[in-house]
Amino acid sequence: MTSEKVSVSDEEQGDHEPLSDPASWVDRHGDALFRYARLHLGDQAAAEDVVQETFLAALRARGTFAGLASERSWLVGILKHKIADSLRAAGGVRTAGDEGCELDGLFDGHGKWKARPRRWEGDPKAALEQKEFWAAFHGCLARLPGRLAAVFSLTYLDALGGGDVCQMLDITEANLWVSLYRARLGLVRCLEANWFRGERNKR
Amino acid sequence: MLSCKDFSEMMSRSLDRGLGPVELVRLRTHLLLCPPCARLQQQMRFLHQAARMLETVEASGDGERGSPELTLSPEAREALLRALTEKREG
Repeated sequence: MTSEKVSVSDEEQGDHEPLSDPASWVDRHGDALFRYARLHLGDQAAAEDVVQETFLAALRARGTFAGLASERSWLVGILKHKIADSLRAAGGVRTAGDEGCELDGLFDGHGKWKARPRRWEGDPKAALEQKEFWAAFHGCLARLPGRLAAVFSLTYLDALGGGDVCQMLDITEANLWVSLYRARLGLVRCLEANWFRGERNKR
Repeated sequence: MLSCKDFSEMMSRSLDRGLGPVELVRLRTHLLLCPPCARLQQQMRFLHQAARMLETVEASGDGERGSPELTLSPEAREALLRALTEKREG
């Protein structure tokens, strides 16, 4: 299960600690793993299950922990596999339907802009440094319709290449592009409304 | 003739697998002439960048805190602890 084959440089040597007592994992990593799983699965119960499976798998595999990666990234590595399994088992659908997006209001019947994107003030890159931005990002992902969010998450879950997402969710490539497109438009609009909204008054 | 909607789909696709040379030229030309599409292009790229960072942000535990639905519930925490202790002793 350990995919971490990172070579260790000298300066890192001092940082290695043996795996901590499994009983302390819940306190140390529980919330972080849960957030991660929740983000990708969109469902609290499913996320809790996956975290539990991760801890149990880690417990079984703890002999293989090489101490090359941090305990956290070792656990996250296991978690990713568990998330992928869970999404596959659920067919990638976490809530019903892809509808309910406001995407249809963006273009008119001829594909012309009906609601143009607003300008985002300042340097959006600075937002990437702010915790509040990530909270807004999570909120937007959570609001995305289920299948779209699953496609988006899986696409960016780094262990997977593009082809696997189609397989895992049993969708065609064309469907993948359309889903990603809709997810992106939805997220852009949501971030605009919830994070970059200051601009609205300035126009 | 391609519409802004068509071009916006093209932008999204370009993030995943790149475009063919003809498509690319068409898209770039359109972006020069169409400010709203150029803006969307920037926003999609920003989103792409942010989404790729998500892994790192999450893994470092630097995500937001204090949002109750984004932490383990006390019950879940309890169940996890129980599962871990049982397995270890069992």
